[in-house]
Order: sequence, then C-alpha cells, then structure tokens
Amino acid sequence: MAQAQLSPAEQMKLQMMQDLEIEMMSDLYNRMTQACHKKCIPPKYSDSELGKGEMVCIDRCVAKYLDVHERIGKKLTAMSASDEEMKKKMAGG
Amino acid sequence: MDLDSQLRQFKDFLSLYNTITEKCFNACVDGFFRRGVEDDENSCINHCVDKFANTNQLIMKTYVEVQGKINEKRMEDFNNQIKQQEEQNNQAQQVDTNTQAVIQQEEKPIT
Repeated sequence: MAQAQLSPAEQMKLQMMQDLEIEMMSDLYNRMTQACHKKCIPPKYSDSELGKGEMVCIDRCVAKYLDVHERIGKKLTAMSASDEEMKKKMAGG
Repeated sequence: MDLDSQLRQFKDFLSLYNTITEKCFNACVDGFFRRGVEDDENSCINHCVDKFANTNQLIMKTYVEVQGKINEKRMEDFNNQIKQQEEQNNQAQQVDTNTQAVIQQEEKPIT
C-alpha cells in the first residue's frame, strides 16, 4: 500500500537499496562462515561428524560475529554522524 | 547528489563495514567460552575500528600529497621534453640554412 504512493524513481531506488542490502548480507554470511570455520574446525579430519566442542564453538562464534558486527555498526554510525557535524561546523565558519 | 553516486556511497559504506567486521573479529576474538563479547575483546574491537579509520585517513592524506608531487614532476618533465624538441628543431633549421648558404657560395664561381 505504501509503495503505491511512491514515484517510479523512488520505487526503483528503494528496490536497488534492498538488493544491495541482501547482497551485503550474503557477503557478511560468507565472511562469517569462513571466519568461524577457521576458528572452530581444526584441520584434522578424523571424523565426518561435528564434535560437541566444534558445535558449541560454532554456536558462540556465529553469535559473537553478529554481536561484533552490530557493535561496529553502531560505532561507524556514531563516527559518521560526528564527521557530518564537523563538516557542518567547518562549512558554517 | 544524484542517485548513482548515492548508491555507490552506500555500497562502499556497506562493504567497508563488512571488511572491518571481518578484520577486527579475526584479530580480536579468539575464545568461545560464551556467546557474548568479552570486555577485553570489546576494547580491542574499539581500538581496531579506530585504528582502521585513522590508517585510512593517513593513507588518503599521504596519497594526495605524494600523487600531487608526482603530477607536478610529470608536468615538469613534459614541459622540458617540449622545450628540448623545439631546440632540436631550431638547430636543424639553422643547419639547413647554413648548408644552403654553402651550396650557393659553391655555385657562384661556376656561373
């Protein structure tokens, strides 16, 4: 319903932003998979089943990765906000 | 700002965000005793992000400086080259007129 009120250009922009976000989510997922694999799965393949330790490690690794991502996101947002403020101050004299 | 550059900026920001998360996670998190982030990991992450930003700023500053110098030097070299070529052309012309004069002098006694 809300989308019907947007102009075609705005709709296209929204669509592109959403696509971009999905692309970045999959990028994040791939990086996380790599990181947790490296940190939790020792390169000794004596068993095809995941050990209990590996399972626990992966559970915590995924949770931690997303936690770190969130923290850094907040930090970056704060940093860019203070950057904008600086720019405004500089432009204002 | 137009749509394209706005989108590009957004994309740059998101991929930088993912890269920083990966780098700082790999550097700072190395123990999985619980799901949450530990205090020392948190301070490591803060330092990591700040250092990343500071490094990028310094790299950009140095790049602008050095690239400016390189461009200046390039322009100087280019101007020097042009000058050299002009001098060579002038010399060639002088030689040309000299030989013509010699030829004319040699031709005179015959007539």
